[in-house]
Amino acid sequence: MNFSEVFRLSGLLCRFSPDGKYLASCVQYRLVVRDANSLQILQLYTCLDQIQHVEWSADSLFILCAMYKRGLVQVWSLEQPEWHCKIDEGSAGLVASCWSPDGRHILNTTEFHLRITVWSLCTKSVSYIKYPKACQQGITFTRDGRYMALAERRDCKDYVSVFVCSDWQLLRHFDTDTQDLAGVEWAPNGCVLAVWDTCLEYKVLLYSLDGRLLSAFCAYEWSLGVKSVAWSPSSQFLAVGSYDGKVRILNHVTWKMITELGHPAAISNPKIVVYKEAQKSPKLGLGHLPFPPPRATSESKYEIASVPASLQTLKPLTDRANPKIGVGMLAFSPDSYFLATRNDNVPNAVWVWDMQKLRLFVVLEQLSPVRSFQWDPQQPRLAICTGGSKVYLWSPAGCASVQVPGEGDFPVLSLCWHCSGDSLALLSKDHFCLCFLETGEGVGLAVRQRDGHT
Amino acid sequence: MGDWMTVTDPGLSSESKTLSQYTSETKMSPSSLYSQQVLCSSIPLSKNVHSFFSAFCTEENIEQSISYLDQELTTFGFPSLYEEPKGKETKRELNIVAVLNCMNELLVLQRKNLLAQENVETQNLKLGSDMDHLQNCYTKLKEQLEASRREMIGLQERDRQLQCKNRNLHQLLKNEKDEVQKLQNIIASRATQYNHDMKRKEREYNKLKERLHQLVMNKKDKKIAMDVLNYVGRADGKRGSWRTGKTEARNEDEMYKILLNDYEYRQKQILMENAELKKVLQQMKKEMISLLSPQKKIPRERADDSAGTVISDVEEDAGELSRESMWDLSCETVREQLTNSIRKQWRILKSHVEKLDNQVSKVQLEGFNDEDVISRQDHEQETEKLELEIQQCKEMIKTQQQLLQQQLATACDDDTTSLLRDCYLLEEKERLKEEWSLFKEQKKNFERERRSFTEAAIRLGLERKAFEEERASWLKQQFLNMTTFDHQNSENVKLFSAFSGSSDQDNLGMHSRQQQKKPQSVSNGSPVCTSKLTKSLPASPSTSDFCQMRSCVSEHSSINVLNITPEETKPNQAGRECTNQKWSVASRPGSQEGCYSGCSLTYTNSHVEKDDLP
Repeated sequence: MNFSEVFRLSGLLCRFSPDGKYLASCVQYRLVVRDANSLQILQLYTCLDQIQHVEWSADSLFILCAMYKRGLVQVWSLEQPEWHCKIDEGSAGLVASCWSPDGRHILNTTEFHLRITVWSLCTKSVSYIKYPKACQQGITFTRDGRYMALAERRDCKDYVSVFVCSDWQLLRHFDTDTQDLAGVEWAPNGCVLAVWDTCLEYKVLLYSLDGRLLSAFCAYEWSLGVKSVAWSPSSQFLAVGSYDGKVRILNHVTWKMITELGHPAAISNPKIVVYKEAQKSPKLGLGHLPFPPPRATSESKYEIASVPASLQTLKPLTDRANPKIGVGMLAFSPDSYFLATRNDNVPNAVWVWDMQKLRLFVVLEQLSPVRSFQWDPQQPRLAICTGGSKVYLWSPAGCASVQVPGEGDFPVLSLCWHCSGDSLALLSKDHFCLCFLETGEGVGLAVRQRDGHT
Repeated sequence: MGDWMTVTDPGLSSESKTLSQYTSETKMSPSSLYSQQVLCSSIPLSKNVHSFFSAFCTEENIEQSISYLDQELTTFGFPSLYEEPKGKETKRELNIVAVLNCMNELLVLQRKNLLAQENVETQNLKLGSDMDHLQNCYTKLKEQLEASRREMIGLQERDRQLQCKNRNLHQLLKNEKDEVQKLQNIIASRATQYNHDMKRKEREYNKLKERLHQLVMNKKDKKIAMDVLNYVGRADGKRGSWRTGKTEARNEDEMYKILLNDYEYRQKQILMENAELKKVLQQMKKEMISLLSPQKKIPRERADDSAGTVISDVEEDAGELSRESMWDLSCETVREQLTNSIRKQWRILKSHVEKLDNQVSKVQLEGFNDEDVISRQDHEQETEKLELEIQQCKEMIKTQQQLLQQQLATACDDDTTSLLRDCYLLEEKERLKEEWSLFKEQKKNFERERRSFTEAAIRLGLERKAFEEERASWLKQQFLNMTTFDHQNSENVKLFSAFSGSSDQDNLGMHSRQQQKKPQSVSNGSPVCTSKLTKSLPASPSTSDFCQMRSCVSEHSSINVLNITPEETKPNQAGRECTNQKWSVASRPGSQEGCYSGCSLTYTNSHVEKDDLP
């Protein structure tokens, strides 16, 4: 495992291009595009203000930089550095900006969710979509980029509009049986739309592409409901994490619940491996003390805890809004074999579930709360960061804690994988670095281990 | 009571005595005090009486006292102290006898009274102690009663308290319920209120939004604009098309196409899954049938009619199932049959397993009944046997390995070929087995033949003996007939040759050769077999000749051993048939043929093997 040198960064804005060739990072009002392998600077663009959002177009030809404070979006071309495009939303303001899947349209959401403006880079045409709903996840595109589903709110009722992305024609418009719709998400096959209600009510609705209600799922009533939703890459499962600390898996045939994955703080099943991160005690020489004294953050390693093991739990403040309970993070591995979850009142632990046997497989307990985790896009390998200067990797073969080298502390706040799974960008508040993972033997071993296991 | 007793007049002794007796008897309340008082009162009473009596009579009042006594005594029923008056005026005389009698009687009475008094006193004491005891018991019981009464009161108190508490709790519960109801109502009303407010707010918000929209959007905001250097081409390279009804229809079409594709894909998947499941089902069914069919005889023998009928159904089903077309039918038509048959089979299987379980449990029970020692002995014997077997098997394996190695060593010397050895190991094993079986067969044949040979040799010996005897007798006759010795000898030779059917060779030699040829051909010149043969042959008279002849025969046979055919040996046999029928039977051409063919087979096999080996 090799680490690149540390580069400056602001606002955690660092993105690999979809084709994996480039790496865009922002430093204040400058956008730097590097080669993803050599990390040489290929282009340097200067925006009008501090960049708050950056996004690659799907074909990796354009980069969008949004400056919400100014209501501005600037688009840069990688092929033609002199080409420029600036979109000003004026007094309407700007709160969100994103590419359409074809990479030729930009969707800007104005302040107060007055409307969504669809700007085209090909023609002068501008489209407006009124009544977008301000919610957790109100806009979603199908994987093939053909359709967009948008949550809307009119006359105190929730609606979903399905648009054809090629010409922004409204394909379907239907009202949903929700109190206060919180999010929409297409299945990876683009045929089923999952819609979930606000946390006050547990309700998950599944709509076909043509607007038919396929199924409605409600696990319980009178308590805080859905917190997170994730589709498996195979579109076979829909995982619904809720405030009761459980993940419910729905199947794609009957849309009924297959299983309920609880997140107990005590693990008693001896089949489950519990990895606990442990501080490596620094080896002190007998005679001399090291000078300069070592950094406060010492090395750590994983120890296999003896089952039954108990995990550190947080007592949630139930009298506050958004209590820290329930499953807030969910992610399927790219091969759909594993599901990683985090229960917010056990913030230090990541649960990894075996989706073939539908049971708990591994629990990783870190020393500090898990900030974020992401699966390798190519193989079942999970990268975790906790805001410390370490990155943690898990694969079915085992897990490792890796110290980010370099002077000074490097608190890893976020991470993102390269699409090939060969490298990993580690982001801190002001810096980022790349972590290159050895390919070949190690990977092969991991894959073999998994095959042997399953 | 004591008080009451003190009141009694000490003067009235008898009265007081009877009274005390009466009281002590009637009143069952003995007290030590009372009994003492009784004693005290009785003893001084007697003294008093005595002193009273002593002071009663003085010199002056003798007459008076006598008359008083007389009066008293008569009132008590004693006879008068005076004599019967004889006349009217006569002074009544004191009758001494009567006085004495009276005295005596009084004394007796006194003694009696004293005795009675004693008895009464002891009884009194007894009763007093009884009384004591009973009083103690009484106090104790009283205490107990008191204690239990107190306890009861305590319990009652507690019960009351608990009931009170319970009532309170009930009240609290009721209050809580009311509270909950109230809160629920409040929540519901608040929720409706909230929803209402929300809606109102949202409407207002919408209005504001609308207004804002109008203000922001309708005012020609110069700022809302896109400043682009030049428009870029579409990603797909096509030009944008106008929105028309056509595009709408096309979009719809495409959407349905996508949905259809998805459904088709899923249907395909489901079909595949179905097919696989059907395959598994079929296999399982077949296996079940095969598993259950051998048992059908047993239940039928047991006259288990239900099982029998079910199994016959199974057989029918099996017949049906063999038709492949059935599996291609839609599930609905087949489902019922399928499920029924599966259910039946499952039932049979279940009953069978249950039976087996029962058997096992029975066996176990029986096993427990047996003595442990015997079973252990059996066990040990069995293990010994098994160990022996293992040893034998190991030896066998060792020899096989050795053979294999030998073969390999001869077949391939290169080191590189050793790598390939593994690949051929299985094949070679197989072949080795074949060879082994052939060899065994050969051995069997060989042994059979050897037996026949020995028999033949014995017979031959006997024959020769007979012949020699005959010849001796014949010579004797000749000699006796006084004919010339030479002539006789030549005749003898001629006769002999004619008899044997061979022209120039000695009859004996011929026979031995005939014997020798076959084993020689079988053993293919291997010295082990021949030596065995010679050894095993009994010491027949022809042995020595046979051994001599062997070398000569081996010269012949070594040229082309395998070309020896039964035809070649036939004439000799035919010749011999005249002499002995049994002999020809012993060496049948069929057996020889088998033997030869076996031999040639091994030869060719070994040849093939050599070719195969690298």
